[in-house]
Amino acid sequence: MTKKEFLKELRLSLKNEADKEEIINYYDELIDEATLNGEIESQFIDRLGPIDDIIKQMDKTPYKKRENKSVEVVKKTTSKVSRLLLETLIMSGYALLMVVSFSFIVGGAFQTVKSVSHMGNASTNEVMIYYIGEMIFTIGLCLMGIGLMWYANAAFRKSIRKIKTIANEEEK
Amino acid sequence: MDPQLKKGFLEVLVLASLKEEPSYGYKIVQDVSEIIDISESTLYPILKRLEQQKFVKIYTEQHQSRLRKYYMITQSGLNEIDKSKRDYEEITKIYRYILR
Repeated sequence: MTKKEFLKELRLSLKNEADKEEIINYYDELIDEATLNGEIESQFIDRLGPIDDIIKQMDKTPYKKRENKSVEVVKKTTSKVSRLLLETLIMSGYALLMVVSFSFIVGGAFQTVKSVSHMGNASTNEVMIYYIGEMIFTIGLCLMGIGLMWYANAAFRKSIRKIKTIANEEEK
Repeated sequence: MDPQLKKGFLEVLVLASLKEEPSYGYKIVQDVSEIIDISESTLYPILKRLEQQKFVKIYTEQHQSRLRKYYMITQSGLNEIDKSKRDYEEITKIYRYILR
C-alpha cells in the first residue's frame, strides 16, 4: 500500500473524529520520516498494521471517548449553551460590582467634600480630629471604589470577549 | 510485560526520551523501542495525553523542505519524571517482596 492509499483509507475510517486531521498529519509525517530514514514506504505501512487496529488502539485511550455524531452534537451544543449562560452570569456579576464601585466613588467623594467643609467650622480640636478621621475614611472609600471599578471594568470587557468567542464557535 | 504495568510506564518513558532535547514522532518510537516495545499507533494517544496534561509542548520546524512536528518537555513534564523517581523506591520494595 502506498502512503496516498493508506491516508485515504485512514481518512475514510476516521469519519467525523474531532482530531481527524491531526491524526492524518501524524501518520503522514511518520511515513515521510520512515522513508527519509531509509525504510521502504510499503513495508513501513504494513508494519503499522490494519487501519481498524490503529483506530481501536486510539479507542483504548481514556482521553477521548468515541461517540456517535448526534450524541457529540447534543453534548457540544449543551456545553456551549451552558458556557454562554455561565459567562453571562459572571458578566452580570461584574456589572453589579461596577454599580457598587460607582456608589463607593460618588458616596466617598461627596462625604469627603462634606468633611472638608465641616472642618472649617470645627469649634474644638476634638471635632477637627473627628472630621479629619472621617475625611481619611471617605477618601479610602473613594479609592477603593476606583480600584474596584477598574477591576470590574477589565473583567467585564474580558467576559464580553469570551461571550463573543463562544458565540462565534456556535456559528461554525 | 503486563499491559497495565506497561501502560503506566509508557508515558514516563516518552517524557524521559524528551529530557535531553525535543524530538519527533518517528524518533521517539525508535528511542523508546530500545527500552520497551512501542508501536507508532500507541505513541499518538500518549503524545496527545501528554500534550493535554501540559507535560509537552509542540512546535514545528522546517526540515529538508518540509515541516516536522517537535515535542518538547515542559517543567510539569520534568516534575512528572521526578514523581516517578519517587515511585521507584516503592516499586523496588514491592518487587523485592514478590521475588523473595
